[in-house]
Amino acid sequence: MGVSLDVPESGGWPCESAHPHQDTHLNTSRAQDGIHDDAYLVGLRRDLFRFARLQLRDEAAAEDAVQEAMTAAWLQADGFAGQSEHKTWVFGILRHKIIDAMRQRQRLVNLADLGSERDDDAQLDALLFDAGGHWDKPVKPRAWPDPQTLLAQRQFWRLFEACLEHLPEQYGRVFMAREFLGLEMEEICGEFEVTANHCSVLLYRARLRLRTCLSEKGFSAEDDHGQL
Amino acid sequence: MANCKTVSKLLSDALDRPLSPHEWLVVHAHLPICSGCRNFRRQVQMLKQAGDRLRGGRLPEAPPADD
Repeated sequence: MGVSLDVPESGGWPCESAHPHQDTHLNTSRAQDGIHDDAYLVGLRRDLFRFARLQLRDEAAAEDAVQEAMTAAWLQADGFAGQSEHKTWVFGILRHKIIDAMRQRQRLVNLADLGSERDDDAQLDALLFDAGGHWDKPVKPRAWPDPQTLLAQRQFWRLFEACLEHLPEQYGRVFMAREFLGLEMEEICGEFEVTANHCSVLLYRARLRLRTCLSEKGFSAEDDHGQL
Repeated sequence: MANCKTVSKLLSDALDRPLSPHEWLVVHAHLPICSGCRNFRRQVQMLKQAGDRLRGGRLPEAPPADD
């Protein structure tokens, strides 16, 4: 058996968001949708903030983006089938706010200057691959649990966040622009002012580090069959 | 023959752009003989799924209290 991935965590990943409360006395006009429910809004704000903070790595900028998204959401809160649909929509607004914030800051950071990360990359490669470029046997990727199971576990999200924060900033931002914000490659290359080839290398390095970090932090199986 | 370093980079690229026919052949000649690269592929695909969920705010409900 591997490690248990079911350890209950307290500490607020979005999956811990408050259960929908049907406090109908709080929304006289939308009794059935619960969008104006206090517990829902508190949970929504917390989830938005966590997402923005991960992406922007700046509490103040994240707070600003969330505030703008919440305000925009407040102004058009009609016509949603329920909290889930509303939440997806507000996250969509936040996504645009984050992209705007990234654009404003972009000029300040030179993403092409990877400096010391190059050395770290060489070290990681030496750890993972043998002289022939094949996975070194002790660290060869092993199977993770089933994705649907893993993604439903709070432990996964906690480790995922910890590993994201360990990524060098440039890698983290390119990875999140691609995978969290869902930008297309040419948009990312434009945003970060790098070539398509360099962009793909940054994403590869980010993914390689993330999967290595997650494996080290608890997803690696004890046996060679690799199934937890 | 391609090595794992090359193939894992192509597996990452495949999430962002279509592979060329040559690249596709390189990957698919290698995968059947390499469990490490097969696992790597599933892992990076899962990272993408995690991002999709986070983006939509479509995260799982908190599991039933198990403490």
